[in-house]
Parts: sequence; structure tokens; C-alpha cells
Amino acid sequence: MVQQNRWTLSLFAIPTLLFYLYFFISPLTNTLFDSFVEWDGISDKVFIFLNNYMEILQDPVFYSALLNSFYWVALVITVQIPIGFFLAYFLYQKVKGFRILRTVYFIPVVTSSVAIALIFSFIYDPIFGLLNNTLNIIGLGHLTTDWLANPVTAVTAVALPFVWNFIGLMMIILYSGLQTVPDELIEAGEMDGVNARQKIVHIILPSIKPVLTICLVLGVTYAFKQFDYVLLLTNGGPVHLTEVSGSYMYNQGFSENNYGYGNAIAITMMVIVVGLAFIINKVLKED
Amino acid sequence: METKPGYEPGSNTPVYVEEKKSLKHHVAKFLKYTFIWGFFALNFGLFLWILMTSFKENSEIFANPFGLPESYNFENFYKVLTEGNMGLYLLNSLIVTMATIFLCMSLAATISFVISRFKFKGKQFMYLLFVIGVTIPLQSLIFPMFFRMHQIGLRDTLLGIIIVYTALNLPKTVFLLVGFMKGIPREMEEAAFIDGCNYWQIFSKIIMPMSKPMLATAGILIFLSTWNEYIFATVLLSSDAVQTLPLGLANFQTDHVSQYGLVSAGIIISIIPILIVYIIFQEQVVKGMTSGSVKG
Repeated sequence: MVQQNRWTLSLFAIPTLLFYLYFFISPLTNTLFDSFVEWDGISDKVFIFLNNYMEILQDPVFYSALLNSFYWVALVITVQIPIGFFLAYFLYQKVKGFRILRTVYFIPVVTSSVAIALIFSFIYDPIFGLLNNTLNIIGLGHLTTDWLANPVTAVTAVALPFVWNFIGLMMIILYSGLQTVPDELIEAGEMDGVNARQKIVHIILPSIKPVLTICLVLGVTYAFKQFDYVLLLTNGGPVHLTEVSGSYMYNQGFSENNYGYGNAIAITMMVIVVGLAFIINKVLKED
Repeated sequence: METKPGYEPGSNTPVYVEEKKSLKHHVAKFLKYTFIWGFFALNFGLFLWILMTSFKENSEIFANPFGLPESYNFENFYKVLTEGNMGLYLLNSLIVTMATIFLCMSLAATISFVISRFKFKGKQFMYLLFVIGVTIPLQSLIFPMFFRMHQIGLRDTLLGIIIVYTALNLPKTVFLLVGFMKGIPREMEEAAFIDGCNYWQIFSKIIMPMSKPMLATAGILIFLSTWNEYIFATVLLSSDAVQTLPLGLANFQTDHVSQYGLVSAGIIISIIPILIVYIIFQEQVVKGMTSGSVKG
């Protein structure tokens, strides 16, 4: 056996490690350190320690952006995951057209956020948009509005493309979970004469709890990191109304040149997302 | 009459009992099919609507927003590809995506080999650095990434965006590959050692070929996230010559706000490549996205 120098192994690790430290870990620590400074991106950084965080705590726009982010999370839980679940559940029951249905359900997942945002801008378009035209045709013309500018509808209008974008992903993950439910369990339930609702609530949902947890964590993470739709459809307007925490962070940096504050928002978001993921895992893994 | 598995009273032998179809059953069935085909129609209809719009001029769009076009002329597509530069953006996206996949997989595979197959000091810490990368929302790196690229002169270059995408995809790729490589049995490797193979040969002749399924999954995940990425692209790329497809499309729309037919053609052109990849590799894409989310 040829005696090999263990140090040659480091040749495999070192290039990646250096790359990763310089282009990922170091920027990550920069996010943290720069959250303690006041900086416009050009002049010298001024160390102000926790002042940015103090400011966040008193910033009404940040709170409204955060509230919108939680509204997106709520839509994940009440719309995205339930639709994804029922699509998965019906596909799991072996319907005709399984392949074409699954293919088409999943298309939005592989479509770029820009394309989806533009499609929705067409749906909401006041003049030729799908929504206003449909309302006019079915005689509900008085409900037509400029969906992205109207304060009542704008927040939901910006969130819907996000909801639609990932329904297919939720479906696919839940479907993979459904396939692991043992047939005997369902048959035993059918023998006991459970109805469809009882079957879902008492047999199916408890047995797919691990994938439900994954969907929830994924949905929360995406709701916080996917602010493409806000930038593309409204850029946070009208007057910060549709802002989510991600877009607010982005705009504080690149529109207001307030990079220290932007980084502080980034760290706050990071803590919230990691914290929520931790709590979801903890709560759902118990019992 | 429909049959349904059941058991005869007092015995354990399964038999088929006849079940009457009730009204409730029919209603449930109707709702179920309305739901699954309704959602299908929504998805399919939206894309079809954009496709139809892409053949129309504005006057026709306003007169007839939802119907079939009067004629199928490709003028909008021609304009988007030439004046709109979409051909160039397509090429840029291809270069960026392919290079990112290659660079990220090379960097990830080598370090995953070391982390998953050998014991050494600091290994857990090294692995932890990548797990951190999987956990945090990547958007929080946006400002330092911008200044790092600016500092080393790679802002607004294809190389710069390739590096950024590689860095962003690295943690997840390492995480997936380490998990997979840990499961490869050691016997072959030990036999190869005895035959005098060096580390490189073990890596390239044994570990890499055996990791093919996970390499494919990782490749698909990198492909999708890179091809569709918008936020980092809009921050880092400003000149026309280096824009990727999503960014180019977004800017094209800003310049042609009310020209719905043109913008629709742009949307269609940007969707077609990924749609082709998706339809050809559907099973792998679905499996990759599932295992990627489940493990990540």
C-alpha cells in the first residue's frame, strides 16, 4: 500500500474553504458588524453600536413592513399550504390526467419571479387587465379598481403572485409525504367507517406531520426572503404600504444609502426567520 | 355500483362490499374535479393568455383582450429579440447558469469528499460553517456582497455574478453532497487504497460516479435558482451587455410599459427555455426540488 500524505487531502478542501470564507462567511460577518455603524456607502463608517436597532424598534414603517411579512406567512398557512395539500391529496387518489395535472401545477415553481410579476401586472392592469375586464363582463363593474394602487387591495395584490408561485412546490412536497402513509392505516380507518373529513384530520394529517413541518418552515422562509414581487410590482408603495421586511431592507440600502440601518434590518430578519423555524420545529416535533 | 375493500363481519378475510353512490358522494366528486381542473385551468389559462397577447398589437389587445389573435405574426418576438436585446440576455443567462453549476459543483464536491470520508480536527466546525449558510436567508447578504464585488472590481461583470451565485449556492450543495457521500459504503474505497490508488483517483473514479444521483439533484437546484434569480442580478449588473434574462426582461418592461404585446413576447421568450428543461427533465426536477427542500 502506497503511503499517502494526509496533507494532500487539504488540497481538496482549501480552495473551496478560501472561496467560501471570502465570498460568503466574510460578507456575513460584514452584515453583522456593519449593522452597528452609520454609513452612506461612501464616507467613513461611524460606529454607533446598537443605535440602528433602537431606531428599528421605534420605526413605524419597519413594523408595518414586518406586519406585511407576517400577513404573507398567514397566506402561506391559510391558502398556499391548504391548496397545495388538496391538490396533492386528490392526485394521490389516482385521478385521470395525473401527469398533465402535476406538470401544469408545477410550472409556476420553475418560472422566474420577473415573469410571474409581469403576468400579475397584466392581471391587475386597470385598462386591459384580466381582473377588471372579468368584473365588467359579469356585471360587477363597480368593483373594478387599480388593484396595486388602492390601499385596500394593494397588500393582498402584491402577495398573491408569491402565493401562486409556490403552491406547486407545497403540493409536490406534501405528495411525497402522502406516499409514505401506510395503506393499512387508511384501510383500517375505512373499515371503521370514517368519513372523508375524519380520514384527513385523524389519519392523513397526523401521519404527514414531518412534511407539513417542512412546508411550514419553507413557507415562512420564503415569505421573508421573497421580496421580488414587491420591488417589481409596487416598490413598496403607495407610501410604504406594501413594503415587506425584505424590500424595506433593500430600499434602506440602495434607495436611501442608509447601509448601516439596512444591515440592522437584515440581521433582525435573520433572527426572526431562524427563530420562527426553530419554534415551528420545536412545537411540531413535540407530542 | 362501486366496490370497496372491506371485511366480512366476524372474519379476517377481506371481501368486496358494494357501496351505494349517494348524492353526497356525487357532490363531493364534482367539487373535487372542479378543484383540480379549475386550478389546472387557472395555471394553463394564464400562460395561454400571455401567449395569445404576444401575437397582438395594442389596438387588438384593447378590443379583444382574451380572444385568439386575428393572425399569428411574430413581429413582437422579432422586436424583442433584436431591439429588446433578449437574445443577448438569453446567452448571458446560459453562460452564467452553466458556469455557476460547474464552479459550484466542483468546489462543493471536493470539500464534501473530505468532510464526509475522513476524520480530522476542525471538521465539525468546517461543516457547521456550511450549515449556517443553509439556515440563514441569503438576501441578508445583499449589501456586503455588493461592496465586496465593487471592491475587487467585479461588480457589473459576468464573472462577478457567477462568483456570487456560486457562493450563494455552495452551502446547500455541500450540505446535500455530504449527506449523500456519508452513505457510500467504504469497502470499495479500502480496496482501492490497497491497490495503490491515491486520493484523487478515489475521488474521481469511485466517489464521484457513485454520487451521480445527488450531483444531478444539486445541479438542477442550482440551475433553477440561478436561471430565475432577480434580486442579486439587479443589484450587481447595470450595463446592458451583462444582463441576465430576468433582469433584462424587467428592464424591458420598464422601457415599454404600455406595450403589452411586446412585453408578453418577452415573457414567453424568457419562459420557453426553462419550460423545455422542465418538461424534458420533469422527474429529476420534481425529485430534486422535493429532496432539496426536505433535506435543506
